[in-house]
Amino acid sequence: MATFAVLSGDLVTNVIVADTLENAELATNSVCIEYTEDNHAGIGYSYDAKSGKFTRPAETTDPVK
Amino acid sequence: MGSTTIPAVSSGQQNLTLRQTITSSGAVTIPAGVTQVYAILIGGGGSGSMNGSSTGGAGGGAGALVQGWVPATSTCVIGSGGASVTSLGNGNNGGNSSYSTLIAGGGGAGGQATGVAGTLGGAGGGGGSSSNGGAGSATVLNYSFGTAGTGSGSVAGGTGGAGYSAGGGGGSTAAAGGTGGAGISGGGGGSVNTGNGSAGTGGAGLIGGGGGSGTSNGASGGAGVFAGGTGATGAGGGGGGYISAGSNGVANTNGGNGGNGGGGGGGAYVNSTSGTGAGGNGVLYLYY
Repeated sequence: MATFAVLSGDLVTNVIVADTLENAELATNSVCIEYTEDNHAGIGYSYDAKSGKFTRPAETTDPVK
Repeated sequence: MGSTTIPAVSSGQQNLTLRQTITSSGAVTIPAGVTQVYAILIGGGGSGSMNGSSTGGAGGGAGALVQGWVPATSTCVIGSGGASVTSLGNGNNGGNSSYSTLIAGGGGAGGQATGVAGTLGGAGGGGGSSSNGGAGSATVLNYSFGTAGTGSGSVAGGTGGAGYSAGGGGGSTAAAGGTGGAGISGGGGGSVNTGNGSAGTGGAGLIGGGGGSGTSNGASGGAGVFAGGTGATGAGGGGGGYISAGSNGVANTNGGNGGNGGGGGGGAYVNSTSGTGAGGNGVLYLYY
């Protein structure tokens, strides 16, 4: 099994597990990209198709009390 | 005026049998003649956060569990557990699972500061430092959800509220971290500062939340159907999942992974060499 980021444009809208990329895209009817521990993805991450890298969203500024 | 006779509800036993346990997205094969199935669907657990050199990380929230009779369909989506993080920051939210008319949200990530709220029935992640935990999902109709535990810089972090999807415990820089709330899906535990008490344990339920950590201790993950993992120095244990136990935190190395079936991952602190605990993957059970 592998883990895939489900994309809407360049935004990751879900993260799922599937046996193959084909299965992932069939189940979600969306473009999916496999992610790994070294290039991990999460909901809200952005994807750069040129570099193939996921980038986590900027931290919301919630001051440490 | 005419009248309609409503057929009596059968009191006969349904003789349902668990036919399929599905752990990855894709095609679902349903035998000919089966049009309705009873489904139990679970979202992925959130992963734990990583925090600074004097503060531990918070545990991730458990994934949502939903169930019911639904029309049989031929594909499913199984939410992945939130991936481990290896540098300062929040964990990752678990992925949503869906099948037919059901959707089960992922657990919220443990927070470096404020824990992330759960969505679509998922539990909230614990709070880091002195910040609040995340609330349980507010979108589960007709079910209560847990409020976020309050973080504090002067007293112990608050316990996350109990509910169908529980809230994460609050972090504390002055005393113990807050315990994740109990529920169908347990909240993640809050973190604690060096030498100021214990980190918050993950909330218990059918699916457990991840345990928080301090730099000198780590709390257990909450028990689900299976046991939560134990904490260790600087590493929280993973929450117990619906289909497997949470992993133990490994001292100064990594937070424990949540058990599969939606367990939340354990938090870790920045000097951990491997990272925080990942959330457990979701699952779909089909009965007919």
